[in-house]
Amino acid sequence: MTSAAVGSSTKPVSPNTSGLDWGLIARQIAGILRLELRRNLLSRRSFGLYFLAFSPVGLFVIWALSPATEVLSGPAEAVAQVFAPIFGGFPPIFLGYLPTIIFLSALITFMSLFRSEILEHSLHYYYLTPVRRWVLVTGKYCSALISACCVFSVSTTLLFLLICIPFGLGDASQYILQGPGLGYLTTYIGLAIMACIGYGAVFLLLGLFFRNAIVPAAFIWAWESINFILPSLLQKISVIHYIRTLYPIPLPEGWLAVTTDATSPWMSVPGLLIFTALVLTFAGWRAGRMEVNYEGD
Amino acid sequence: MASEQQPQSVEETIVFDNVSKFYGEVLGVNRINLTFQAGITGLVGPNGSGKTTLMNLMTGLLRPTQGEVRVLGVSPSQPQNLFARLGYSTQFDSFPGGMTGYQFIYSYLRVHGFPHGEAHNLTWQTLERVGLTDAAERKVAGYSKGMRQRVRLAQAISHGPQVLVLDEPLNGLDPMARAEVIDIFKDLAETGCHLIISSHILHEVDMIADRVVLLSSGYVVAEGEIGGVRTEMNDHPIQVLIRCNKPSTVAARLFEHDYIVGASLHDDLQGLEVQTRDANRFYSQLNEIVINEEVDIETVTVADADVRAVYQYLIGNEGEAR
Amino acid sequence: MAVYERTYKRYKGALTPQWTRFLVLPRYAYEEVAKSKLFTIFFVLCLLPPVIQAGRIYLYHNAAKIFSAVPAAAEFFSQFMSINAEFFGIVMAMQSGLAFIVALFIGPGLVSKDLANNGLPLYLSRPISRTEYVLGKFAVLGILLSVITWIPGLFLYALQSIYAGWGWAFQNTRFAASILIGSAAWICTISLLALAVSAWVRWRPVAGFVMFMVFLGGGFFGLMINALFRTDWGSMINLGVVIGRIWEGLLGLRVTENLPLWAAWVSLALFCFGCVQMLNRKIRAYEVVS
Repeated sequence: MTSAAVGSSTKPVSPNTSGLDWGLIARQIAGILRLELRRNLLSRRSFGLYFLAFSPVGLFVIWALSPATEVLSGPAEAVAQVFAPIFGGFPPIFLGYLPTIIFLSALITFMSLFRSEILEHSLHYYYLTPVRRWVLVTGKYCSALISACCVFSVSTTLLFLLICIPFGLGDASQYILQGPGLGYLTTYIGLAIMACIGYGAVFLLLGLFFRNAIVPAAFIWAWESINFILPSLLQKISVIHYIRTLYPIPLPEGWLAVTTDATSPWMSVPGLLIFTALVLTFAGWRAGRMEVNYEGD
Repeated sequence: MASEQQPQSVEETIVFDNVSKFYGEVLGVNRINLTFQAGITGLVGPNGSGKTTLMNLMTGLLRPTQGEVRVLGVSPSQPQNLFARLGYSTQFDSFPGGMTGYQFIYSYLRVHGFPHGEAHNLTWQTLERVGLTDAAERKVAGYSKGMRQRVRLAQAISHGPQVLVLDEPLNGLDPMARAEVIDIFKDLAETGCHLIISSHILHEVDMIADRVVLLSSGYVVAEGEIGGVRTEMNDHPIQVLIRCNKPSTVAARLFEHDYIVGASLHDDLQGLEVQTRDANRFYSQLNEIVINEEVDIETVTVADADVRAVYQYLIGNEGEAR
Repeated sequence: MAVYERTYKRYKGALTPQWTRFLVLPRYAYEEVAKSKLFTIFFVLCLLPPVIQAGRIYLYHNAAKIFSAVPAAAEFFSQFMSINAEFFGIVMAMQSGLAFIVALFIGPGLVSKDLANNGLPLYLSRPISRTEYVLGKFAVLGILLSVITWIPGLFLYALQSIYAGWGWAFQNTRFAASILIGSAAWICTISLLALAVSAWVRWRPVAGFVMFMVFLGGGFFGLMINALFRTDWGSMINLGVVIGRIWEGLLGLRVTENLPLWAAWVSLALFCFGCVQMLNRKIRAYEVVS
C-alpha cells in the first residue's frame, strides 16, 4: 500500500445545490445505464428474459418446417390467422405473446431492478452515491426498457418472419416489402415496446413496494384479463386498453365484452405515456422514502 | 464533545439532534444528541447497541423516527448534496455480481458523475492505496475476506469524501493489513476528514480514535476524549501504576488520605498499584511524597483509562469486547 | 452433606407417535404465515364466495316465502338459480383459482427458506425422514387449501341436502365425490408444484415468479401449439384447461375443451410425477457441489 492521497488531488463531483445540473444528471444516468445494461443483458438475471422472449421462436421454427403450414394459402392468411391471435391473445383468456410473454418478461426484468439488489444486499451502493432518487429510478427504468425493447424487437421480427418464410422467400418478401407486412411488423414491434413501457413502470413500482410482488402481479394479470368486460372508465386504468385498440389486425373480444368507444391511436400512445409518467413519478417518490435495511429479505 | 474541542460551525460537524429510531416496536437508538467533529471518532458498544443504526442514520440508509441528522450541514435525505462528500463502508459483505475489483470501484464512480478519465485514474489510485492493484482485474467474488474488506474501503474513499463512515473496517484483516489500513485512517484524519469508525477491537479503537462514543441498548452511555470520560467516572476509582524504588513508603504515605481506596505492592517490590477516587489530589500528593521521601520514580501510568476499561465499567460483560 | 451427580441423562419420557411428527412442520409454518396481515385478509376473503353461494342456496329454497310480494323475483330465484352441476362447477372453479393464489402466496417460501439457510441437514438429523419432511411441507398447503376448496364445497352440498331433502343428497352423491376428488387432484398438483419450485429456486420472489410462469407460460404455449399445429393436445400443458376439463368430467358438465378426459388425468399425473422427481433430487441432507 502506498500513501498517495486519494481524493485530495482530484476534484470530486460538485453538485449544484440550488438547481438541477442537467449535465451531471446525464452523466449519472449514463453511469447507471452502463451498470444496469450489463446486468439486464449479460448476467444470469437476463436468462429469464431471453428464455421467455425466444422460446416461442423455437416453436415457430418447428412449425415453419412442419406440414402444418400447408393448410394456409400464404403469408397474409398466416399472419391474420396464426400470428395475430398468438401475438394479441386468445379470447376470452388473456394468454398471448404480448399479454403473457411480454407481461412475464416485464415482470421479471423491471421488478428485479430494485428487488434483486435488495436480495443481493447491494442496493446500498447506489444509495450511497450523490444521485437523486428519481434519477436512479429513471436510469434503472431506461436500462430495463432498452434491454426489453431490444430483445422483443428482435423476437417479434423473428416470429413475423418465421410466419411468412414457409410460403417461399418470393411471397414473403412481396408481402412484407410491397404488401402490408412491413407496416404490420412495425406496428407489432411498436406494440411490444408500448407494453414494455406500460408494464415496466407498473412492475418497477411493485418491486419498490412489495417483498414478494408475485401475488400483486397475479392480480394485475387478472385485472388485465377481465379488462374487456369492465365498464368504460375502469378499462382506462390498464395497459392493455391502450394497446388493444392499436392491433393492426383486430381480435375478437368474446361475447362478454363490453363495447366501448375505441380510443384513437392519437390518444392511446400519449395516454399510455402519461400513465407511465405518473407511475414513475410515484416510484421516484417511493424510492426517495425507502430505507435500505435488508432485515427479513 | 463539541465543548471539549474548538467549536466548529454546523457546516463542519455531524450533528444528531434528539434522534430516535424504532424498528416497529424494537428500539434502534433513542434520543441521541451528538456532535462529531473532524478527526477519528470510535463507536463502541456490544452487538445490538445501535452502532450500525447510528451510521445508517448518518448516511440516510435509515430515516429517523424522530429528530434530525445533519452531516456538514446537509440532511441525509438530500443524496445529491451529501454523498459527494461522504463515503460509507458498510458491514454488508456483498457486491454486485460478476464484477472485478476495478469494475466495482470504476462503475460507481461513473454513477457519481465522474467522466471516464477521472474515474479511471481515481480507481487505480484508490486500488493502489489499499494494496489491491494486483487483484484489480480479478472478480470480487473470488477475493478473500480481507480483500473484500479492503475493496469496500477503497470504494468508500474513491471519490475523496470529507466524511468517512466505516462499520467494522478492521474485521477480517490480517495484522499487517490492519496496520496499513489504520495508517490510511490516520492520514485521512490529518487532512481534516471526519472518520467515524465502529469496532469491537477496543485496543485498536484506543490506538486510533481521538474520541469515542460508547453505546449500549440504543443509548449513548459516554462520549468524548477517552481520558476525559474516565475522569468523569467517579464511581470507579482510577488505577495508577507506579514503578519506583520505595513502593512500601509511597503506599504508607498515600494511605494517610481518604481518597486513596487501595494500594498493592508488586511482587518484585519495585512498584505498586494505587486506586484513588480523586486523581488531581492524588497526583499533587504523589509529587510531595516523591520530594519528601526522595523516591526515584521510573514510571507513572494510569492502568484503566483506556477504552477497554471504560467499556468494562460502563457496559460490563454484555458486550463482546476483545 | 449430599452429593448430587448432574451428568447427562437421556430423555426417557413418552414420545409422540412417529406418524404424527410431520405435523410439527405445519405448526410452525402456520405461525409464520399468520404474521402476514395481507395473507390473512386474502384467506378470509377466499371464504366469501362460498358464503355468498350459501346465501344463494338459502334464497333458492326460500324465495317463495321471502319474495311473496314480488312473484317475479320469487320465480327468478327458484327458476334461474337452480342448484345443479353448473352451480358446483362454478363454485369449485372459482375456489380452484383462489387456491392457486394462496399457493402462490405461501408455497414459494416453504422449502427455499430451509435450503437458503442450510436448515435441511438440521431437520434430517432428527428422527424425521425425507418423505416425512416433504409430507410436512405438503400438509402446510394441503390443509390450508382444503379449507377453501373441498370443505366449503361439501358444506354447500350439505346445505343443499338439508334444504332439498336426503333424497336429493342420495341422487347427487356424484357432486360430493366430484368435489372431493377434483379438489384433491388440484391441491395435490399445485402443492407439489409449489414445493418443487421452492426446492429448486432459493429466492422466494423468483420461486413465486417461476410458479406463476408455469401456469401462465404453460397456458400460452399450450394455446400456441394448438393454434400453430391445429390440434388440441397442446392443452395438456395448460394447467387451467386440464383442471377445467377434469371438473367438467367429474361433474358431468357440458364439455367446452376438446381435450379428452383421460388426457387431462394423464397430464395431471405426469405433472405430479415430475414434481415428485424434482423434490426427490433436491431434498437431501447434503448437497453435492460440482
